[in-house]
Amino acid sequence: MRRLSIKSAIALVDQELRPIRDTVIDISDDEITGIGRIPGSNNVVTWEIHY
Amino acid sequence: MGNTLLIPQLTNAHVHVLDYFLMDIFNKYYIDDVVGAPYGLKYYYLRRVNPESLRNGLAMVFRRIRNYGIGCLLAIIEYGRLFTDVVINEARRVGLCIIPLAEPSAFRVYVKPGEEEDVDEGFEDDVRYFVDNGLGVSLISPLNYTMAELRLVSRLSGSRGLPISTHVSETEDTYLDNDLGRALTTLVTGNTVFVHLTQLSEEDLAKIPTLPVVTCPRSNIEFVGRLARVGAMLRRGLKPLIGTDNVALIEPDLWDEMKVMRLLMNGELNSHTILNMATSWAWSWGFGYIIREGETMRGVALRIGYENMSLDYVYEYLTTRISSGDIVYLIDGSSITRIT
Repeated sequence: MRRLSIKSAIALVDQELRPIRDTVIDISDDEITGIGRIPGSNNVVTWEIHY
Repeated sequence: MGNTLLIPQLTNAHVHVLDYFLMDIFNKYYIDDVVGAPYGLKYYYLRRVNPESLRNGLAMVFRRIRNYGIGCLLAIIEYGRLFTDVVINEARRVGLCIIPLAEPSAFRVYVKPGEEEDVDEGFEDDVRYFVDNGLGVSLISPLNYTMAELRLVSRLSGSRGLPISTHVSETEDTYLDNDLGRALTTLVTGNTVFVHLTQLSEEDLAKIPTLPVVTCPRSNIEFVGRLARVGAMLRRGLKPLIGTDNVALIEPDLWDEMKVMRLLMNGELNSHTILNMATSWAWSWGFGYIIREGETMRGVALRIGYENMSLDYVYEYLTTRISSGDIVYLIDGSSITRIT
């Protein structure tokens, strides 16, 4: 199993392309397993939606 | 990844890649003389060329496409039986997800009265071959096939859930010959993609069921001098996608396409909608990507060239300021590729 966590200043996530800041995206075997603040799948952020 | 903006990889929903070698003559002749079927130079050349001789050129085209942050490509493959292997192989070699739309070799210059229930043997053979091999089917226009042939494609492809792509009302001639009417009575089952729709009125668009539709703004401006009514498509509840059309004429860079849409359709389209067209709406039809738990990771990281950018400005920033030089990484699953 290959795991990877990437952090970007802003990410557009979900079908609505919601912009969120400083987000870590966890990937395992090519699949997104978590979207959070620190590496690991159990730290889901509260969406910061700014339209 | 530093000061980057991470978005899903883009989907180019309509592109002809096999005409790249015509780019230096594209503006010197009338469009039909260059790419028109079956007498245009593109068809003349493709009937004679060894597919292997296009491999290197296609590899360069696909590398450029990939470096624009595009992950998924709906590619028209003329003379599909001859060229699908080389096109698919070269696209996949650079990591593109290609939706191959193979064009049958047999088509009619026009359908004569009394032919509507005929099915050309070569046409049926090609379509069955495409479907048996899991390929989508590209139709030049509903005007180039009999009604029986159109129904046959719809039935065979629809039953396997394979996409069909057809140009619809790109030019005034095809609109006046009622290509939309022929499409609406034969091709609305299954995953049919209607491309261009440049000549359609709001009333015409209201007749189109909820199918994927594609607009190619720069190509439409170049070829026919007008844009499709994308605002009316949205009011109809369609979720249009964006294509770049002929590589011979248009550089297959969706960032340029989005900038043109932002400039010319700003009254009807906002930047968020334009980005949806290039990403999540394509995903909703099974042709692209979003960043969400449970999805395969296919992302592109863009350099943010300014400090303290407000989240309120992200969509506008993407559709007005980003160019290919801002693309720094492609993320495919657990693999990260730096773009130089």
